[in-house]
Amino acid sequence: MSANESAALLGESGVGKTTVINLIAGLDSADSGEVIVDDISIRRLSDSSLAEFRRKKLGLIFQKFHLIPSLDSWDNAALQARLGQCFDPEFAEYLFESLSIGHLRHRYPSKLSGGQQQRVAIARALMHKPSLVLADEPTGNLDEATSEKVIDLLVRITKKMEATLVVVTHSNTVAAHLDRRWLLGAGQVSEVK
Amino acid sequence: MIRLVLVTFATMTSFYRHNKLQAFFVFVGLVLGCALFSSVAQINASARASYSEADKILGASAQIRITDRDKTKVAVNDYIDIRRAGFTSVYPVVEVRLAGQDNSLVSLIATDLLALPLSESPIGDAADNPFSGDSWSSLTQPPYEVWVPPQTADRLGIIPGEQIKLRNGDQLPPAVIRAQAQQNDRIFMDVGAALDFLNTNQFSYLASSAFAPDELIRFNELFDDRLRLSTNTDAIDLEQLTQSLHTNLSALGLLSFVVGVFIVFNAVNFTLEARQQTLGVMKDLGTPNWSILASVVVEAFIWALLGSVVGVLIAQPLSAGLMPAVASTMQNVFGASISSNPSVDGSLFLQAFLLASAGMCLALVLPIWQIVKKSSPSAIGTNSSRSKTYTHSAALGLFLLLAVACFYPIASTVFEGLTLITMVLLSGITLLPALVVMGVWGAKKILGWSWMARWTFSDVLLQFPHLRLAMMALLLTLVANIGVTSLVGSFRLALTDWLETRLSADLFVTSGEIDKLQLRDQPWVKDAHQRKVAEVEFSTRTTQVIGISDSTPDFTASDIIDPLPDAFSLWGQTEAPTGVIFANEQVRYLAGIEQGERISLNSALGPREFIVGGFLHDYGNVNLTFYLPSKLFDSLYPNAADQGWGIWVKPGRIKDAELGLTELGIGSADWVSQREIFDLSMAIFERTFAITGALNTLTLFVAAAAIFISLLAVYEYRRPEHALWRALGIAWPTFFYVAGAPVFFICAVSMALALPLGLALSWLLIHKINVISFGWTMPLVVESGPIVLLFGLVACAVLIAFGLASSGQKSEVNASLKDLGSI
Repeated sequence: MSANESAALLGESGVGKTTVINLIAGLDSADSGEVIVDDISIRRLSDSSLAEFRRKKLGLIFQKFHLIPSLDSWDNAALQARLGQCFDPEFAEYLFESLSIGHLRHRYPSKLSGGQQQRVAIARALMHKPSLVLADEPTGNLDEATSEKVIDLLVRITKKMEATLVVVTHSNTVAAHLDRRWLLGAGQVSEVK
Repeated sequence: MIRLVLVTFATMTSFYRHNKLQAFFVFVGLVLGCALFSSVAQINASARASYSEADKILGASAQIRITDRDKTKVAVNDYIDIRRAGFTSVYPVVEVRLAGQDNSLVSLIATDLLALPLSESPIGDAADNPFSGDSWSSLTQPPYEVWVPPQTADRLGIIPGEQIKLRNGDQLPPAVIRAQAQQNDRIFMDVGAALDFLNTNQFSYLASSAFAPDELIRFNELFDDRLRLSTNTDAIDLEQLTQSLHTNLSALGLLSFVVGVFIVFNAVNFTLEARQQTLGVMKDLGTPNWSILASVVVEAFIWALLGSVVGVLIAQPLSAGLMPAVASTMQNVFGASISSNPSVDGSLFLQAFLLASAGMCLALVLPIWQIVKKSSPSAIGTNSSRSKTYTHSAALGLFLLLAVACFYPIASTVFEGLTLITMVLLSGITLLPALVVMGVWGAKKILGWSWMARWTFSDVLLQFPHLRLAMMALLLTLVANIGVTSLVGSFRLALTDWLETRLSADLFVTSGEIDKLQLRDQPWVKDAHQRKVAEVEFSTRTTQVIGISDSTPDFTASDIIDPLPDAFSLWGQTEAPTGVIFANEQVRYLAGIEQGERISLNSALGPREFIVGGFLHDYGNVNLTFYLPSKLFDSLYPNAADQGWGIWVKPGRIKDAELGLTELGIGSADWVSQREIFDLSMAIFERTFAITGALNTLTLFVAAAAIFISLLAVYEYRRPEHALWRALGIAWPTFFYVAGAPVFFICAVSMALALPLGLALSWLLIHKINVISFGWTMPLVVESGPIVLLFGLVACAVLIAFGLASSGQKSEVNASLKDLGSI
């Protein structure tokens, strides 16, 4: 995939979609083969280099949001950027306004709805301007209307940032928002035209 | 019904099959708590068993003492007259202190074992019976033998059969290492052998169990003109004397038990949290609450059974290890001899087991009952409910402290004193959560500009509910440690001051005729003062009056507590019709006499009134004592017993003094070097508190174990979140900083709270428990060194616990990374 491109990874439950995402993110290690991101072979990275790779180049969005309960929305979203020492307050403001969560910046995750939490998670994944954004069922816990809104925002902002976006989803509606669609099944990945 | 409970039980406990670590936590908590509690219970029971067999020999429990009216000692003929008059319960005692060849102090006590009344005969195993085998004949026939208690033999470096050499060249009969009850640190020999060895025909005193009223009248009719009979009914018996220490030991044992129960509570909370889903599903499927509760009770019983049995078994070697320290404490502080081996008693085992089981069941059943009663089970609770709980808890803590302040002046029994101590400990537990929250709030206010600080302090609130119980356990042990450390430090300083004063003379001549003028003319003498003592009747306790010269170097105005104006100069004015007298603190606390009060004392010139001008610290004395100027004392008590001469030697002239005393006709066995007694006393003191030190260390260890176990559980519970941190690219140093700093912050808050509470505990121990138990007090001395050391040790223990708990976290978190998408 090239930069500025987006793709949906489709497939039945248990086929290995999340495993593929985990392999790309370096959260899991492959028995064989190579995962290359930005000309870097993930497999050859040490534990600390892998952490640095995720910190600087990767944006992760999980189905269950996985916000840190002890931090408010602003600190949650800024966390990865701050860790990578690339926090840009203006960009953060832009993201919060674009995702319509500007008024929620001091709220803690326990006081946010599912859709709001997911938007904070998206802000966190984009705040450090990663080159690759991986989203695992980002709309799995959201209703249809909110799902549409969230995926639309995600695609729009990653395009603007010229980042690559891979989204694992069951939903054809979600997949329709993305440039390419891949189907995972029987150990094969095939592109759906 | 049983089937339903069994199915519920099997379902609930299936959790442990996949969570062996949780099972291990519960087990360790139970075992640690039970083991410490049982071992202390066993030590107490063993010591008390020793008392019931003791108290029966050598006049220790003698309720009557008979001495000569003119001299201190009693002639053999008087003893024979008394026995012939039918007073068969009277027996002779010789007590003497001798100087060993190496200047060590040797205390000798002798009696006639055959003359002892039946109730005071030594009893026990055949091996301990002095009348068994050839023990008796060896003791009473030349060349005689002396019985040396093991601890004395250790101190003097004596082996069986060896003859203790004295400074005057004499040798005691061959030593047999064996201890009689209440022999204490004294060497025992037969009274006939003692008279022969000491070349005297006088006993130190005669002793007896209580006389019947008619016997008393008859005795006075027959012997009142020449013998003085003093009743000893108010002498504090061993159990009373040692009650405070036993109470302290029991409290420390219970503290260990409570800390253990805290660990169990913690572990149970985690297992319940992990089993919430199972519980919810079972309730949804229609399992009745009573069935869940019944299965939990069964589970609790099995856990309690396992933990108690293993805990009580572990208690055996533990108490065997601690017992010598307890025996040493009893010996040194209270003069009570107890066996160094804990007694193994079936009923004690059962008692410890039942108590431990009940505690364990409570620890397990209560939180589970709470879970069952909740419609939506949540062991941790929400933020708002938590802050409400913390507020209520803090209010309770403040109320308890207020109650302690209100009840402090009126508490007058050991039980009431201990209730106050319990309230102080409880207030600490209840105040801790609110203080942690306040600490976080304050830290955020100050360091809020740093996102890392905000994150770290926010994490404190996230971790605290999990670590709360372990930190409460740590707080309890810290409070107890600081309290006891300050107490021991105060003891040490009081004892040092007391010894420095009492033993300020370099040499003390215990017996022998001294020409006062001749002694003072010696070139090596800096100062010399005679010390005399008279026994008088006052209150219901043994009361002594001591005559002291106002120029004695060891008696100065600064020694007087709460003196009346000009008390010291008035005390020296012997011509005043109502003189000023000083008293020890025991007079104040045990007899209820305040400064300025008038008292009346019998004297050779009839009753004499005095005004109490102030008090003196009198560490460890169980008697009431008054102090008079020696001139007045000599006129009021001309027949007072001569205690000896304190001699202050000019610098560098000690050797001359030792030689000079011989030239003055003072036998080398008749004087002692007080500097050596001082050193020995301090060495004994350090051994004395070995048991509290050992228990403090053990409770600290248990608290550290509680933190370690809690951290493991926290890590297990938060592993998905920690995996997220890692997935976001957090480096390990940052990871462990954010995970670890909250632990140390909570520890720091616990330490900050433990400091004032520990000092309050120490104050209560010194000014309530000690005063109630013994009647004397001492200044509370807070030494920063031991407290800093304690905090340093705790920080190290927490660091080790954190390090151990974190050691496996890297691989565990890495392994959990791939589960992030599915959870």
